[in-house]
Amino acid sequence: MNTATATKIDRDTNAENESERSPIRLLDVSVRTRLRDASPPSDGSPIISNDEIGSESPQIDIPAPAAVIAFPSTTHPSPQFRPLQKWEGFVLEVRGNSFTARLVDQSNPGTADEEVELSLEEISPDDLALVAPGAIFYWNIGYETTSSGQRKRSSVIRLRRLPAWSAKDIETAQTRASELYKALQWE
Amino acid sequence: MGVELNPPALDEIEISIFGPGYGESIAIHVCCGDWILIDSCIDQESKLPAPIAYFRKLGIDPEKAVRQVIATHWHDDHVRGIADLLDKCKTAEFVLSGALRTEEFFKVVMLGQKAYKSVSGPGTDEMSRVFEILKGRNKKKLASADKVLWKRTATAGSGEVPVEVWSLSPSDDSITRALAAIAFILPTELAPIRRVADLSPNHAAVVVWVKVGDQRILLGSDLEETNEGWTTILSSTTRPDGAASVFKIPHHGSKTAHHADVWTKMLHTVSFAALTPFVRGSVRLPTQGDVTRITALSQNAFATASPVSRRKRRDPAVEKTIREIVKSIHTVPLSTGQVRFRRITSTESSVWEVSLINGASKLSECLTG
Repeated sequence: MNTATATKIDRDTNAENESERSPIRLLDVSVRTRLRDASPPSDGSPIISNDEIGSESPQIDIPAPAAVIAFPSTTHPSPQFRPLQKWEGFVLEVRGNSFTARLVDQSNPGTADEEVELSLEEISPDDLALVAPGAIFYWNIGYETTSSGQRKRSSVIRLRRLPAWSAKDIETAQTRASELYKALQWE
Repeated sequence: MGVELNPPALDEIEISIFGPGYGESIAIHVCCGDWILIDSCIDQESKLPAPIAYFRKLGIDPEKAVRQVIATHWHDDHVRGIADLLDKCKTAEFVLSGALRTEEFFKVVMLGQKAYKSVSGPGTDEMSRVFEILKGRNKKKLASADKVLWKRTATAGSGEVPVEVWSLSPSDDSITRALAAIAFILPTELAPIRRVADLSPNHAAVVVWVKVGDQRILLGSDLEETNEGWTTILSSTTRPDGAASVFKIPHHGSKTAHHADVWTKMLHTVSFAALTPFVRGSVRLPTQGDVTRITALSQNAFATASPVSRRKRRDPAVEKTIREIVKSIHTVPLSTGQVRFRRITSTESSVWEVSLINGASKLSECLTG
């Protein structure tokens, strides 16, 4: 049954226009490979090669695709990052051209926190304005494989973009602070 | 050699100073089973507030023994675990710096509840929980310059032992400066929601003076001389008299917290001193200069831990990258060192006995790791 289905697909992809066939050629190849690699049927009937497939072959009706979408063929993999160490950090202090931050180890949860002093040069220009006491960031060290296949050690720091205080937040805090202030009587 | 962990005798004063390298807490046995706790830091082994972990080892019930919990200021390194501490000391009075009883500070705390929470929560989280606990308690007091916080006369052995606990700060001027500093860090509309920043310098810190019998103890909190914090105390005519024999050195021994007259006018010539170290980024306190200055003033100076950096072991590729890009990196110390002073009150000839527990050392040796 599988062989019959594969046969039909193979024949349908045998279009006249080569450029229109290209996206499906991979499937074509896989079908051929499957046929070539197949073990002889247990009932002793011969394996049918692609070349032998003709109009007399068993037919199964498969609706024609509405449209064939052509994806550009590429041999370049997309860049990949394999982290070796991940931290979440928050900025404690900015002093001159460097900042101090507390790091929480995300690769080894439960181990001791660390404190680090980093140069502001390690921060992307787009993120620089976000570096202030209390700012949250993620820091990953690992191997980056580029689209050309080269591997390099890499350190990536990304500042988290946090929402802003709203007028309602401020107003609610003020109301609760006033209530607390009145509720707590001190000597 | 291990230190025997047993409770102090009823007529014995104890001052235990805890400091893991980032954090500070003090427990004082002021005689006859009464304890005063000042600030809080976390004991990393038990994950409990350091004084509570210590009480467990001694077999002391904090609910019955603790008379006051004093929060000298609200920096992360002084308030971690203070809500748990207060919760366990159910009959204790809570003392807050007078500079922090403002609607603006309460607003900072309320906004802090919505601010981003990471694994290491900010001091506002602790204060928020403290305020919730205090809603159900009558005992709370504000500390200010030259105010008696707690007083009683106890009977120990054959005699009476007068006990007084005073706050020597914040002064009116310090409170005004602290209010301005709080207004400065108050989040505003459209500003990004970040972690709430610390107040700096430590305008609002509460310096505590304890008198037990004829012994006096000066606990300097983090008060700095910046803006004349110590000059104001020294020039006060209403502060309690006498000279202290034990001194908790302010602000981790930093130069900014040093005032030479404190050593000559508020301390005995031969006094015992201790500090907790502070390690943040490339900032290490005490520095070699601080150690040299302090050891010249007291040969009996101690540190709860060493400010020398320690590093984690990691994948060599990670280590190599770290070496290439960081200016400094170190782990936040896990062990909570303790310097313990004890002295019998009823015997005139008694002396201070010092125990160095869990990595504490003489100050002169703390930088050699």
